[in-house]
Amino acid sequence: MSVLKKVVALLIGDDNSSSVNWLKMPKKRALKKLTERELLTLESEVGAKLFGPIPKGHRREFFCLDERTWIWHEEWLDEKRKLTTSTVRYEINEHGVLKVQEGARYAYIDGEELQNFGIAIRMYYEQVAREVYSRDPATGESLVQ
Amino acid sequence: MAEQQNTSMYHVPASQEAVVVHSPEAPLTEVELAYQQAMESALDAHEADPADVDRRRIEGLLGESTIAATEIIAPSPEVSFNPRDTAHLVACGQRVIRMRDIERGEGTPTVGEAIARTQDLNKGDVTLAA
Repeated sequence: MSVLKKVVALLIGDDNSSSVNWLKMPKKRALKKLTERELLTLESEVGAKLFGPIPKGHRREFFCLDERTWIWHEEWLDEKRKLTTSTVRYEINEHGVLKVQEGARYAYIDGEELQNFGIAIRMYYEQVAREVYSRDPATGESLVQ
Repeated sequence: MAEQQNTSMYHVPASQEAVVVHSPEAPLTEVELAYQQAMESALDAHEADPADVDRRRIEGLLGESTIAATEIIAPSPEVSFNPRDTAHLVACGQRVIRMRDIERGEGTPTVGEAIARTQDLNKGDVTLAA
């Protein structure tokens, strides 16, 4: 599956339910495994909050697609009540962090943007480890006895 | 003989006995009263989070206003890892993916894997500035 198809599938999903409030990490995990998409949804709830408050009427996603790819997605209704979306893919390679946007726009990020991105990644890892997977981010050990 | 006993270093004058004797029935001293009031105040302030035991205990000892003042002047967190280090960023991603895989039941990490994945991340940490 291509990266683009995977992103679309993860963002849009296979069903019509947009609410994720029902999605909670089960207490007895051995009895119920969440799918990758469900886990990504939980992670994204954490990731979306890393960049400050989400503007009213906006929906934001930020998650780790694979070890070198991170996705930022935001959608909102414009003045004409038309749904507007923006998806950014960040690819980490040996040269730096490549930012890929719609319209075949590519650029390596630097300066404050790179700094913020790096901090966000670290925060994402630490918060997701604790809040989604109940693991100690320093050791990887489970926090659930 | 009786006069000698009265001048002994162990003699407690009658006027001071009420101060020295300390029993549960004794009235609270000013400090004890302040402690009790601070504790009650802290408990009321944290009814919403009964699990915050440490906070209540500290507030009981120091007083709510002291804690509030300390938080205002407390140093901001300082990032000591290099957020521009792409290897570090990749390591974060690897660990996220690994946790996700484990959650989906796709194997558990060996001790060696867990240590290897931890090493890069432990080079830096979020610490408080001195």
